[in-house]
Amino acid sequence: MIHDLVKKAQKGNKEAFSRLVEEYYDEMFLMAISIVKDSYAADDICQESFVKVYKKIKKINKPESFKSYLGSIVWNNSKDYYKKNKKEVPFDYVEIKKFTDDKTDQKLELLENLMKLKQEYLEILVLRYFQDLKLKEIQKILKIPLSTVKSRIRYALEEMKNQMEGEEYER
Amino acid sequence: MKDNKYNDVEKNLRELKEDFKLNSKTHKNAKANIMEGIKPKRNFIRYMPAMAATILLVISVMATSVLAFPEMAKKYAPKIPIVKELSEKDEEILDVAKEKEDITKEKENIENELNKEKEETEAKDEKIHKLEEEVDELKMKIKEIADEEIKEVETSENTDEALNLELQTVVVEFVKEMYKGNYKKAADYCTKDFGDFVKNNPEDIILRGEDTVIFTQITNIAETENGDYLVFLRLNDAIKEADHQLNFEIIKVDGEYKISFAGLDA
Repeated sequence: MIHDLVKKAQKGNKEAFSRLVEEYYDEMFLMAISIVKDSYAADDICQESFVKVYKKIKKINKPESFKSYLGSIVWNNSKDYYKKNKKEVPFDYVEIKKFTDDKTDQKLELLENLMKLKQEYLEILVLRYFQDLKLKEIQKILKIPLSTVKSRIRYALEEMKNQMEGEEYER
Repeated sequence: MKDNKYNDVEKNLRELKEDFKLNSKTHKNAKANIMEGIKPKRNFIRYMPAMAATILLVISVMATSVLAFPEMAKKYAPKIPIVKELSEKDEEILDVAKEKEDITKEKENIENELNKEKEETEAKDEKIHKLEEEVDELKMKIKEIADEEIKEVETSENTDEALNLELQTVVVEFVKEMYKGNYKKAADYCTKDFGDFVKNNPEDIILRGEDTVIFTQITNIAETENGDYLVFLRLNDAIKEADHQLNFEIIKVDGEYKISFAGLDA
């Protein structure tokens, strides 16, 4: 079904594109906010990214690569924003709850743990577990040796585990 | 990742992705902004005043008449500026055609010359390649680092030799301690975070074996954009048949150089 929507959008069908926005917006927002740590900025980045993708949608040869193309634009825009506006402020539950639905509240603590990680660990977990990229794809994006990708994921998971266990201990 | 101890973490991350949902207000606003953003830009001509459009039409009709019957215009009204311009254009066209012919001939000459030059360049390239190979061999030298004699390969230029030796010593001492099983001592050469990792996961960094490690090659230090340093070390420890490589990242912490990462190269 996604393939059909992409093909229709490529022919100028805005309704089809609107459904693609509905399908992928949450996921892209999660990736953006993990990196930039600002809900409003994440929202802007996602909107700009979708507009950019629409303008270049005819250049996508395979409809199945729409998501990864969109993901790469959101990733690059998020990274650019983070470089210019590195945000080191506490996780703002109030701010993010303005954007998320009630059921997501239970997951916000996990998101907070993720955002506390060192930036390079956070980014590699986002690429691996939110974007579902393979190790070699991550290697190409981050331009680091494959062994470093594997090791960094392990260190990141270790750190994440420590964060989560720290929370349980405090409880 | 096959390591079981991280299964829960991975499961939680995947669930976060599945369960993370934005509210309807966010979706509505985002969609509205996106759909507005993808609208095509308005055509400027739509806003041209009718008067200007009419004037444009009149001028184009007048020009078309002359252009539709140029020969008659030249014969009966040679002095009208636009007709004069037409005659001049004809002459210009002839000049351009001749110029084009000259350019084509010149192009052929240049192509022949370029082919000759290409052959000469290929011969020179081969000579340079041979010289580079000789230079590469010279760039390797045997060096003493932490009581070990190791072949050093220069992979970056303009390094401070004192700093180079200092960081290479940190790396070699670290590896030696790891192979002796002195993980706590090895961790002293590392940042706190990485040192903790080393103590808990030594097998991730070093292949276990007896204290028989042989250092076969080390690079000089390379500085990254962040001001960190990289060093690559090749070694043989009788566990693997061939040499293997360890990649190191080193940073300065409170005035001392510490290993912030070490990993096996793929």
